[in-house]
Amino acid sequence: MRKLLSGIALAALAATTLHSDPGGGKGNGGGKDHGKGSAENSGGNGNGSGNGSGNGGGKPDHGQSAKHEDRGNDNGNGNGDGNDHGNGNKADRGQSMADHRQDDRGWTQPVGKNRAEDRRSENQGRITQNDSRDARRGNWREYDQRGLVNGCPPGLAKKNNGCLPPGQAKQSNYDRYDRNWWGLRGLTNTSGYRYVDGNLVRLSSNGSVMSYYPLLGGALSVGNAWPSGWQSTPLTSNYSNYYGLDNDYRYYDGAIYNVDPGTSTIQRIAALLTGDTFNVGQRMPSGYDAYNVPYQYRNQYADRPDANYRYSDGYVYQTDPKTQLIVAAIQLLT
Amino acid sequence: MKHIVHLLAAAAVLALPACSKPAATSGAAATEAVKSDKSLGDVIGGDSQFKTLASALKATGLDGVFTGKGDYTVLAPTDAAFTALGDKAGDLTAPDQKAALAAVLRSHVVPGMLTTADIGKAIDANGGKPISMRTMGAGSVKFARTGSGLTVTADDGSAAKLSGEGMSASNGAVLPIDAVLKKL
Repeated sequence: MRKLLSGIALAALAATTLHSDPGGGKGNGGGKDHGKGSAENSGGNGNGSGNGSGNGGGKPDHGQSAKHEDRGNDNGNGNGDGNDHGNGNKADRGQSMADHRQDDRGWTQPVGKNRAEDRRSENQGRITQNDSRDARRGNWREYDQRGLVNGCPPGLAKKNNGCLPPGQAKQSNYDRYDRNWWGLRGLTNTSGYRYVDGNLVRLSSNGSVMSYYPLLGGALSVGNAWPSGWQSTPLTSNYSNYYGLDNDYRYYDGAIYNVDPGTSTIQRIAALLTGDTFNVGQRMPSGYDAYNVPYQYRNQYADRPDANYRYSDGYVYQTDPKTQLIVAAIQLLT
Repeated sequence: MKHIVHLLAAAAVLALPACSKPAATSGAAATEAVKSDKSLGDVIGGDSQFKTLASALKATGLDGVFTGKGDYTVLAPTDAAFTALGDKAGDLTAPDQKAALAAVLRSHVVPGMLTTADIGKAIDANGGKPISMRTMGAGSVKFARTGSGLTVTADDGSAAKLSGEGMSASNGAVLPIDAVLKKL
């Protein structure tokens, strides 16, 4: 079992522009983003700006325990334009400012900055601060805010009928349900959609589809081609590692898909994600009230009077039971 | 409704081979987390009370999620729970409504491994009041203690009782429930 503790650095990561790789340092991003415009997102620009500062950390190793890479203080200053071009200056291998180690009970403690001591820690399976470049997480919420894509869904476009939904008079029972019913995160408006051919759509005044949002299990089903007009998000290495996936996987609205790179055919739905990414220092939100750590990590991360542990999307979050503040984000790797 | 019936019939047929090997297909019943070498997909697919659920997972392609490495707890409606939907099920299981079925299913999935013991401890720690857990849908569910049992309620008010012990899997847990947690 490998594991990686990314502590304070994570506070910086989520606050910065998604694509910029600030190295856990300070970054400012004012973002235009992500390719496809949205009918809901005023011309397709969105995913705003952020500022963050923090300390980078180590890198996961490939042994039985976490590795201390002594890559702390990964401070850089970055300004990102949000177009995947953050100009962060990544200062490597500086002195760790907030190193931690973990004792046999799984308790994360500050450690000294002596390299020899840190190597001993490594040999004893201690967890320490880690390299933010590996610890970075997809800020799925930002990706999910793209809204509908203008145009006609591929399946409907093939019919060459002006993108009129088939059998307009026959409405699905599910037409009336809003985005929350569908479990979606990427729709700005809560209602006003129609269900057509595996997509949620908006109709123009003449009844034709003017924008669409492909749905898990619908347009995004195993065997279907990935909609060419729809941009997905490649996985970051930490998710690939945890879920055991390679480069042919992509994220879209709470799910990870395996897509054939040659044919763009969806081959497998590999994982579901909450899309939640929490940061050290923030209060653990509602929705994580019960202990839910996976079995193989329960001995190591068991709730104690002075620490609670909660799991989401490949991370275990250590919280203070009194304040509910997150004191560590621990990346689980298998 | 007819689609539900068809799905059940198909599930029954598909389940026949599995019934010949009960020892290899049943999950480890447990209130507490126990080690299991069976995936969630194996546990659900090998339990005769989840034929409809297993078929629904396969129909939507979500079955691959539960044979992978991610850890989840499935709030698993029993066959009786699906049957109880009656006409409200509408065309939920029609071929052109798989997205709706997937939406229903994802709202029954909680991240990580959650046992009935974990839920009970959390309720106790919360002074006996209900506790909330995130789902893979857009919202959360609330667990509460009623008498000697546990109930779970979705954001839309649909509710179910946890029926029987949970089952541990290598990548999570299965908690049987007696109703579908989604208003249709």
